[in-house]
Amino acid sequence: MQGIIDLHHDIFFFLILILVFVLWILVRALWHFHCKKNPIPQRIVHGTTIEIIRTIFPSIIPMFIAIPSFALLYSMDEVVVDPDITIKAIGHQWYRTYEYSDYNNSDEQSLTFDSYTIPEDDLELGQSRLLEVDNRVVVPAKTFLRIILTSSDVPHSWAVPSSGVKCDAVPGRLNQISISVQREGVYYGQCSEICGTNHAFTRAPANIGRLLSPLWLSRTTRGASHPRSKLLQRAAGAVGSRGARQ
Amino acid sequence: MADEIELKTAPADFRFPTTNQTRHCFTRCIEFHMCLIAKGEESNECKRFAKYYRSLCPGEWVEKWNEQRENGTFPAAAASQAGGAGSSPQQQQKQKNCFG
Repeated sequence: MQGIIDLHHDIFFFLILILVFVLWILVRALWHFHCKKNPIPQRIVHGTTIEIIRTIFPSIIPMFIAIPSFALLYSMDEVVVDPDITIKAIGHQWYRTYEYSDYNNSDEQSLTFDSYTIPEDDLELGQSRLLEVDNRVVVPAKTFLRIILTSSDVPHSWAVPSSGVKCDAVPGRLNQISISVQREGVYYGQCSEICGTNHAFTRAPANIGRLLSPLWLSRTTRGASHPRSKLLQRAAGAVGSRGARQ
Repeated sequence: MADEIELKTAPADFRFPTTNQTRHCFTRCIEFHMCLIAKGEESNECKRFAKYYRSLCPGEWVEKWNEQRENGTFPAAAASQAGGAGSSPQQQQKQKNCFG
């Protein structure tokens, strides 16, 4: 994410430079070729030098922009460090199923829950329309996360703009994205692939990561009977009573 | 009571450096069954492969594969061999050809 912000700043440097230059040319032309100052227009229609310069120069600028851009693009794909947690997000029409199965001891046992968008009528004061979900995804902060995306019906897309990720979820294929969340908070996301009637409205497959410290996992996995973990679960709204299967 | 459990999952695999991890999941699943064949059903060494594929594969897929293994229709010969009883004599013959 930091890389994306840095690239934005880098590109903005070129952008401002071009903007100032173009504005300067424009104002200069308006100033010098004003009808009062310059009543008889010049009849120059061709200038080889200037034409070569204005063709070559703008084609070099994108190259300078492309170098850091490609470097970032390919570095984002690479998984350099071993991830600490794998979370599987399976897209459905129109909700998402999340699986945490790093600590499974058999194929049947799994921490799985469905995440539905809260309909407009059920929203409470302060909740965001079409963003809030009933079961949030809870992940530890400052940890390398591997998100595995797939779909069980039509292509969906898992996007969290504030984490700088957007990845398609294609049926029969597992797509991996790695994120590391630096700050604790609630992060909103929506489906970014037209996936049917309810793609944008009633039940958009929104995903929300509520990011707590790594301690969360130890508390919740220690046992649901632990009062503190129950409280935490409820607070996070992640593995609550609704839609949770353990 | 342990205060914190270790955060651990399937490591990054240099064989699958791309975004597409479909093969990673499938390979880990096969590796687990190959391991069971090689080391025996009770071997503890295979547990890590099981952990890897459970981390990577969606539950639905694993369920489907287990079903296929029981029916002897799992597309990877070695892994369906581990399933054993369900596979037909023809398939068993085929597997023999593949794995000596």
